[in-house]
Amino acid sequence: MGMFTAINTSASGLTAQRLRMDVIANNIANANTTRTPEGGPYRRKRVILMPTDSKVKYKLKFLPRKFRPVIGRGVRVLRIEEDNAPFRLVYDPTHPDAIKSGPKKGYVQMPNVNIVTEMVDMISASRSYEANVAMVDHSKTIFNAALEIGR
Amino acid sequence: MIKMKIFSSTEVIGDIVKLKATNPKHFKDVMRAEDDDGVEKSFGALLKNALKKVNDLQIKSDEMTTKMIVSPDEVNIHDVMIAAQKAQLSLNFVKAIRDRVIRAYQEIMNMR
Repeated sequence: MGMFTAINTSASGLTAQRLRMDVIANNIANANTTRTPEGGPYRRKRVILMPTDSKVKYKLKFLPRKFRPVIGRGVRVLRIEEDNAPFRLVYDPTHPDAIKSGPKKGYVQMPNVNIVTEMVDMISASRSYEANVAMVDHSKTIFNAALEIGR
Repeated sequence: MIKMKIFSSTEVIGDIVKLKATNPKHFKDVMRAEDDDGVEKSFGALLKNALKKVNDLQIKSDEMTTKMIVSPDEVNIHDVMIAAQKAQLSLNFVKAIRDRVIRAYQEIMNMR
């Protein structure tokens, strides 16, 4: 447990929440995009987070308890994956991207982005960010308080 | 014999564990465990090591600030602020240690 463990952990949280905000902003900006370079409407993206493991891994099977990592080191982004929910269908035969034939003739496939859900996610990411900033601040306060010992 | 020493959880010898952790056959990346296990040769070397780390933190904070000014897209704002805070904290720490050391020295010098 070093001097800056808490600060490093909070820094990883801040980076992860920033990335999440970026993805949410992208979703909101593309909420009505019906044509992507790969074809088809925009699919909602989301961020998968998982805890970081500490860097050194020991291969010994029966490691004494002192060396098994107990405190985690923060969070990292595993990947940005697409949501497989079905697209919204909006009836608009005059739209250039409307489906031309079949049972769904005249419908346009709109992205599966729900603006309300994205706004809630944005608030959640923003509050997480503020909580991590408060953590960094308090770690600094604890550190400075420790320096007062015996002054 | 060496195995027995490692398995006792109360007494773990620093250099033997370091050997296990830094042997490159033991893990895929070439990451090493931290080099300092608290066994320093002299107090002077310990102090110099600490000052070097403080200096590294200051340099890193400077680098991050420059990077932010030159190309603000590459670096996160919170990383810059946290690097500045780490530099300040480590400097406070060194100042406090220096004060203690000097006070201890003066106390000893006043012993007539």
